[in-house]
Amino acid sequence: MTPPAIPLPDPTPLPGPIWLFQALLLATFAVHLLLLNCTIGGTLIGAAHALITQHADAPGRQLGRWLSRLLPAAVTLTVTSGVAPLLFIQLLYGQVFFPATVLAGWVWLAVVPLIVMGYLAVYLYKHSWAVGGRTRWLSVTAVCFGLVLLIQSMANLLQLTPDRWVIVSERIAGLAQAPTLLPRLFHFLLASVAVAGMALAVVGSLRCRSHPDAFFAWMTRCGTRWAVVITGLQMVDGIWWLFSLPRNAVTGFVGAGPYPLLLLGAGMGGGLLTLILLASLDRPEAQRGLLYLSAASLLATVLLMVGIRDVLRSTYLAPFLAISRLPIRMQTDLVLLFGFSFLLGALALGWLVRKLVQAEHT
Amino acid sequence: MDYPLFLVPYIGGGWLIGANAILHVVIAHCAIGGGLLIVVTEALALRRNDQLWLDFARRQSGVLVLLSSVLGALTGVGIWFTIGLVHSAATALLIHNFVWGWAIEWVFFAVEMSAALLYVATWDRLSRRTHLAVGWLYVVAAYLSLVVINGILSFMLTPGRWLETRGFWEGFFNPTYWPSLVLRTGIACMLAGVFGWLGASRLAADSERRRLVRYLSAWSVAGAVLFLAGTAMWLIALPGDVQDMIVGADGLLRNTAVAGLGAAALFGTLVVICGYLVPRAFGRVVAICILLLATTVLGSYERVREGARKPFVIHGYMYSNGVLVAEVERLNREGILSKARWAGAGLRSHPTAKGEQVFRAQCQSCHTLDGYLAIRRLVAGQDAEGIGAFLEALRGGRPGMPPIVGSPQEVQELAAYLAAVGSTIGGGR
Repeated sequence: MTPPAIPLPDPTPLPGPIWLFQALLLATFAVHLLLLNCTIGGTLIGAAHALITQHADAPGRQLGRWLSRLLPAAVTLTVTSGVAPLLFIQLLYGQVFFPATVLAGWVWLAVVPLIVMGYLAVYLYKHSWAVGGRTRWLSVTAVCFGLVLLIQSMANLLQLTPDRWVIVSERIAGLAQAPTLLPRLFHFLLASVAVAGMALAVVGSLRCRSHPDAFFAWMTRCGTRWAVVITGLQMVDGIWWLFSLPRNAVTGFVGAGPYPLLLLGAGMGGGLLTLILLASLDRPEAQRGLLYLSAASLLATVLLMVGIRDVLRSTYLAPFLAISRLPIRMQTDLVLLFGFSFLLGALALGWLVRKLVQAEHT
Repeated sequence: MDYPLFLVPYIGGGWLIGANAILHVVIAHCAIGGGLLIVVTEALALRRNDQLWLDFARRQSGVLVLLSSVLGALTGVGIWFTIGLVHSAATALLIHNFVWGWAIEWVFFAVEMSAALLYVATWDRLSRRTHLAVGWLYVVAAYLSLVVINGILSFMLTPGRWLETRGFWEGFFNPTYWPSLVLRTGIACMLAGVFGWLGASRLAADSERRRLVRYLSAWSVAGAVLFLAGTAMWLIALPGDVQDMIVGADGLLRNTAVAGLGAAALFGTLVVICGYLVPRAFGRVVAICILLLATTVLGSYERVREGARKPFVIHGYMYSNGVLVAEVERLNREGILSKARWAGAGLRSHPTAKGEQVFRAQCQSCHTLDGYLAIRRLVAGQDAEGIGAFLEALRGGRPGMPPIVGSPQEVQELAAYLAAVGSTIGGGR
């Protein structure tokens, strides 16, 4: 059959400037990505340590117990933060989002029960510590969330490649047949472990600051090791991903002016700097300044990668659609109302965080 | 309609959405009412220095957070996934019109979830006053998310002046906005009482439990009264054609509405008997019974609301198969397949394939071949000519069903396909 055209956008004009929706998409996605990395990476690190550690008092087991108390809340916050980018992506890129997810169909829908199963397994793992901890629940979570990441990667890639839609509509296996799928999936998995390792190192270090503690000192070293090894692998995978990109995406990226290339250079430079800083930490629990600098560098790299991902999306989709042409009917009252609600929400969340810190000190 | 089609065998797309949605609405309303109940109970327990009530509130808060953060939040995401698959065009329309509403609702949702997590984790770690403040923050955020989402849900049945102005506020504060809010607040309070009953049924049966059950029953009774008042307001606010559909034209809707009101009456009676008059009768079985009754009440309302919207997905604007009211004439001229460009995707070649495409494009969002609203038994044994004449007559529509749309040639091809379907038994979806 002839390749069907991209569906027409909904005729209703966007109720605000496109740059604002793009900014909201990127900002909320960055928050979601960091939480997602911590959750998935934390699950994988916890499962890995639990599987290799036999002794009940070993720090690897303690890490599992410590993570089990945090993971349920981490999953809740990851899911909650994911709603906003889903909304804005549907608004701006609905013409490719809906067809791609419909073509992925039941595979796409499987994301919901997989998250529920992974989530319930996290709770079961938490409660299993009353009887010594059952690692298999954490493994169930790791498998479920890994599958979610795979489906998400396939669906995202399908959104970017409308020229593959007909193939997938005829054969669902076509979902997995994209040359960039594997490096893309590994990129997210590795980023998750690196960010989670870094988070463990920073939290461990902060905990040691006021009260020296053997477990948290171990956690700082362990987190740093995960972060350095995985960031190294990430550099290799990043290059693999770059070379696996289709020609039109690469030429679009290169030909789109200096901004995308500068962004890419900064992102790769950030990754390299993080790697060098992490590698220079031989006693991270005692080198707090350098550790926090590594964390800041990794954070900046992740944020740059969010920007690169956005540019890449535009270059992928350039032959098919241009969101800059979407009609706009500015609704200032609603923009202000959202801004006001957002401010109130941010204040409320800030207050809640303060109370959480207060509770941690009691 | 120019999106690819997500076809759900046997049960149809509507029931896929419905099965997920009913679970979500029960948990979501319970999270709002139950949260209020827990925080008020904590406040009362502190004022009266009542340890039993305090322990009760604490235990229930753990259950509520688990329920709402796992199943509540994810079935909410599930609704979004399923409506996006089954009704892509309608979802795109809702998002374009109400993106700021949804964005504001997300802010409240984020505060609600964060406050819930902190509330349940800090019973002994924050001062009583601060802990209560966290609880109230949860309650306010949860209710505000209902205040917002109610505008979008009620819009789909009664878009009101939005049909002329396309304005956000006209669509949001539509004719059934306030009645729906009253009604949903009532349901939330009813479910709060039910949720409390389920928790109380685990306590030892003594005078203290009786006192607690009486208090919880008051929530259910107040909720039921509010629900009935909201329902009456809602029925009055509905447009005439929708009212007619509920009270007369559609037997299934009328019976569902009667079942819902009957369940509400039974709910109230059971709560009064076991909560006040014969407290000995209270127990786990009764608690489960009133949970089922409350679910029936809410499920009936949602089913009537959804059913009364037929044949539209956005009343007066978009039919349930994605065809816009404004484009019927054009599609009759140019053909429905000029819009439904994905109807042939993945379709094997056969003599009536064109007719199957037309069927997929405009019928299969509601009808399956052999399952829910099965088409095969409707056309069994009929020839293409007879079916074609019937389809032409349906161009004017019938209650609950969009008009048949498409060029005369397409309608003939649809008739030929349906005649072929009717001549075979089984083997389809």
